[in-house]
Amino acid sequence: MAPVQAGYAPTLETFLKSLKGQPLESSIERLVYLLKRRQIKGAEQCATATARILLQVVAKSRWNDVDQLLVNVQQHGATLTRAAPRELVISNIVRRVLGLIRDEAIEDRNAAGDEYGVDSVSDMGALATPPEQPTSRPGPTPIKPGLATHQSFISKSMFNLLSAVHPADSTGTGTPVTGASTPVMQATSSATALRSEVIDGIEEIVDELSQADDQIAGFAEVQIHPGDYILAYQPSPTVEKFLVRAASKRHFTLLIASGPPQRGAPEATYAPLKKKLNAAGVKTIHIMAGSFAAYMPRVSKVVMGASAVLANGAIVTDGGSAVVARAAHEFSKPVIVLSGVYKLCPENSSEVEDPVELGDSSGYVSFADGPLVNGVEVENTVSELVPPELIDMYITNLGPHTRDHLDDILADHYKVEDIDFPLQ
Amino acid sequence: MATDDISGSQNAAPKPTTQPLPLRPASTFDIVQTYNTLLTSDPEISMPVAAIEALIALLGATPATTAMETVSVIKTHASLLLSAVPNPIPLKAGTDLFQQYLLRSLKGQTSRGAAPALGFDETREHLLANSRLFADRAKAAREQIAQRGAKYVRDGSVVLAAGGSRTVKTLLLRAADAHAARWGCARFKVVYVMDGSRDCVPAVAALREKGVAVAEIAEAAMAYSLAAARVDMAFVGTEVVVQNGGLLSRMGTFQLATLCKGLGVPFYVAAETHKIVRVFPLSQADLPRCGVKQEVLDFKTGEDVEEQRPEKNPLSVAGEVVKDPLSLEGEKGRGAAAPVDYTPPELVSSIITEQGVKMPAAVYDLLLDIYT
Repeated sequence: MAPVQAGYAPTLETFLKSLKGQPLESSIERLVYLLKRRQIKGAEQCATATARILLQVVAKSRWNDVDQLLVNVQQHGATLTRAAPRELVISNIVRRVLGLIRDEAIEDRNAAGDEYGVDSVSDMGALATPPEQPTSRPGPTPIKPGLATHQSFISKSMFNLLSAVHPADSTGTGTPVTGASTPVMQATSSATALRSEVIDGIEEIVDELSQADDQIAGFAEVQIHPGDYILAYQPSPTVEKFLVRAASKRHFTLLIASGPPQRGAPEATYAPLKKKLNAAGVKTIHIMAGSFAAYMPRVSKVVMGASAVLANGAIVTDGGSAVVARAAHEFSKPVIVLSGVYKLCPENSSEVEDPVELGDSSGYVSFADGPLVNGVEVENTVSELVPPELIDMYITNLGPHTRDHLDDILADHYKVEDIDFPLQ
Repeated sequence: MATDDISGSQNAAPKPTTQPLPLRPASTFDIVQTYNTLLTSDPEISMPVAAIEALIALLGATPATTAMETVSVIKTHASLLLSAVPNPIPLKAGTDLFQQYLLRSLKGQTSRGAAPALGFDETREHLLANSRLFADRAKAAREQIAQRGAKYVRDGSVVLAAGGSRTVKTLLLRAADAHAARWGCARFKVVYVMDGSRDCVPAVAALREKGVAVAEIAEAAMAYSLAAARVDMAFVGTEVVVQNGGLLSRMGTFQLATLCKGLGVPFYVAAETHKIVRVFPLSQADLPRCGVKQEVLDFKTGEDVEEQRPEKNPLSVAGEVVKDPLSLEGEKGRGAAAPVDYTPPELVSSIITEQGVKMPAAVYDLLLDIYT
């Protein structure tokens, strides 16, 4: 999909290579420029770059205790988020890393700080600490959530109303600030241990990113049945891998739909994909210029990739997908979305500022049509939002899910404290 | 706000614990009276919380000393309270939560993680000492919901708000604040459905005060306005959220939800988690089984009408009742309750709670968490 980078234009690979020798600030600055210039773009690339740079933040930035580390990660994460506000994955990765740090810190404190007696608050109402505790909250870190010694975890329970310990910092800013963070005495000794643990955790995230596509492809043969007609709209690398894996076991027909032909721009041919599928004996049919609706009665499933999956099940994906999904919905054909868990965002579609991205429309109108260019405004959607009711199933690296199950996955992957991350 | 009365009445209630009279029967405590006093004295308090507060007052007043006796006293009084109101479901949300909490502490199941379990007596002390705190937390929850929901109201959007929900009102006010902080003025419009509840007028006034353009519409104009004003989203409050993620709320909620579904407008519900109740209505016709007593449908022939006096149907939604200002407070008082309907979960886009924005399906998880 991405045009071949000519010459020495920096890419994700050159950036990752450059990380080692450089000081942290300059590599962050470099990444910000790369994101702004869209030399690193797309969910996978952005996620990998973010995870790698956060690893550098943990390894190189100056911090003595957990709170400082959290603040560091949040600050640098926010810088990246601002650099590419449309790449929702960036904040997802930052949230994952923040959650990771919180988890490790809790483990540390549970091991070392038993003299407190009351350490983590269970989600069951937590009657451990005396009730006067919540009122005496100095809150030295008013904006950035710190890691509270006494409440390491905001519980999610209906008992919060009655519990003895205040479940979350009451009204305030709306961001669930975990409250006063008392400096822990064993800071320096545990800092090095924490550093290596967090770095290990981030390495795991990076591994997860690189394996996500393969894991998703693992579910292909269950979903694609012999004799199926599968429609894929502008297949992304994730979708391609999925289809190729399915082709090794199943005999089906693939319909590749591509957007309306663009003048001047070379037609996307998906030749490598076709070649691989052909080798496995799978027939491919290329449907041009939005005539997919005519084929819809024959189609048995529609498969599409996503650049982000939102909490309510809507997806942000390539422009033109929504109309394919709509057509499939009208013909009662299932729409399957393939997406790594890291693309699952805790935001709702109403919260995302502007999911529809308008881009280069020169493929539709050229400057040769002078009067036309002057007289009308031609808009071309690069990415758009597919509403949740048009999507039937989500396949992540954890397996297939329904829309209702997305909440659980979100709860497993992000901490409540971090959900409001970019706004802090 | 007449919060002075409430603290007075509450301090009066737990007093007997200091000199317990063993012979004094617990039945002298009037739970219904306590509940009504609580509800009328604080306009900000919601029904489940008032029910919880009433039970806490009972906990202070009851001479019962053993755990099981206390639990059974609470149980009988809770059912007494529920049977005294026409629509017990909002109260059931509170009483069930309270009883479950008490039972959990009895079983020592609060000792998850490193925290040791509080004994029953300690739990009791905690509950008695903090009854005011719970009401404050409930209000804080409303504020948190408002903060979350305010993010949904974006530049240039048109929002429909229905019902005298205090949560929705707060939400819109917070959105206005957020817009003012960012752009200097509120850059959204509100279509407010004036359904006759007494909170509507102050809510509209408060919004206009903040510089928000508000259109007041009648309930009959909902469909027209949704389409004509190009409404982007609808916000409603609710009395309770039922087990399947549906709503049991003021009559007209189902109607609005159906319209929103039909017109493709997202239908958001702002509700605190303590409004979730373990009730499972199957349909509108199933409401009597759930304990709701209302006579909305009263089929009559000409002869019946001649026999009966026209004012003899206090529970109906007929025009004359809506005009009566007292009946609008029926939601809170005991007499006539404002009629309710059931909104199935398919019509609800999301539920905004203080613990995050939830899909209707996630409601069951929250219930499962405390009832297993």
